[in-house]
Amino acid sequence: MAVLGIETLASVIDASIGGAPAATEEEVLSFFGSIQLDKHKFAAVRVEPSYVKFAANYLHDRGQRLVTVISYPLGAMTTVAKVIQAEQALADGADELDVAMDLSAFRSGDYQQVVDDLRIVRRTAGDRVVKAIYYSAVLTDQESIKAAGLILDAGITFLKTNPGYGNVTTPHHIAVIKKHFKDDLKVMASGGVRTYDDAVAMIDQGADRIATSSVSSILDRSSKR
Amino acid sequence: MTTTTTYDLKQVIDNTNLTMGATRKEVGEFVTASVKRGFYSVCVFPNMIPTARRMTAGTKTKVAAVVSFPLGADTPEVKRYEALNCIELGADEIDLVINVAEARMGHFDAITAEVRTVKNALGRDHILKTIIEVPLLTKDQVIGAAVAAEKGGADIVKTSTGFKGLQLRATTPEDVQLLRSILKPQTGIKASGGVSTLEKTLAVLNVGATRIGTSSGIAILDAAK
Repeated sequence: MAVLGIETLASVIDASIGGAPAATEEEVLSFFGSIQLDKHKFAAVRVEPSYVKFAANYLHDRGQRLVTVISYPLGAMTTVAKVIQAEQALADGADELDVAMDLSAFRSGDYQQVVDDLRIVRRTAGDRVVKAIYYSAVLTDQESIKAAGLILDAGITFLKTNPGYGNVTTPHHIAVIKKHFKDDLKVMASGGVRTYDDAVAMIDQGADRIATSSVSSILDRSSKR
Repeated sequence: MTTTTTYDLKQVIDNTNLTMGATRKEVGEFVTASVKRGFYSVCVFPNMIPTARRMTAGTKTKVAAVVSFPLGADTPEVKRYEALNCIELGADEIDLVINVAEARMGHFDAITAEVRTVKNALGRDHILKTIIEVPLLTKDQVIGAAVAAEKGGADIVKTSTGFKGLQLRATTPEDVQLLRSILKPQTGIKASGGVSTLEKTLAVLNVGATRIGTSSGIAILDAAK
């Protein structure tokens, strides 16, 4: 296993709030405080769409990037709704968008819809980073490769494995993508990454980023290495 | 105990399929079966509205679609556009998740404002149900959110998303009783989230629920035979 320094690790983490859903403003600020934004530079800090405007200046003033989510977490919104969400998020100050693939269209074999849907969001986002959630937890290896290929066809070069909410990512999910696509696709491991060892196991398989709500415990453990 | 003959059960049930990644074929079959049993409506994700519309064409079964589901963490404008998009695609009714964070912060005016934004867009012809996510709220927050939604023009206050990822407790008759005691008589109450048996259905109807949201509609009708 690789041994990662705390700053290297922080730089590949998308930090998100854990605990209670529907966090209050106070809880969001308390989360920001808990991850020591003045000390660590994260890949991005994630907030819900309705909190982008509230959090954008706060995070930008501290040199952090803000990521939010589109058609999240179930991936069942329409293309029109996704574009509206994306436009609002960008107007409110989001730097990155994590957009969920239309899982039903994919599982229905309507691959053109999967591509068209994501391509429009990709275009809407201009030069911002867009990651596409493809739900590795509920797909076979072959399906994951197929989904990743469609996402690449849509012009998106960064995958996010899962939305969380019980959809757990394994190091194998990362290995499947990296083995097939090499450097053509980046992958963020998301869903069930709770410990330093989880994070390192993902990175060992080639994960480019880690999404986690267990930021403090992962970084604490890293600092003790 | 009220007997099953007191209610026309099928006409108070929104038979629901909100399964993550369900295929069009699966949802199509679900809708066809629901139409055959004469349910008031089928409740589906926005990306399944065209399928549901096609399968309900020429029948009395309505199509309800969920908006900002399941987290409710979108801005009012995004919710408005998503709701309008659902109507354009053929939805008759909208099940909107309120901004639950605002309820947890006691910002009830914000809830009235977002509900009003969506209701104004829908007009009288389309019933607006507002999901307040009772399991995440205190009693005072439930009262505040329900009254705020009613004030904003909600036709029906709905208890819960039943979203499995949040591991929410089931809706109880006590939840419905509380809502009935504070809402105007003309405001409906939809009990949803864990209302999956005939016994539970009758229990919530007996204390004032006017609509039931369940994925077990057919089993409930069969049990009532």
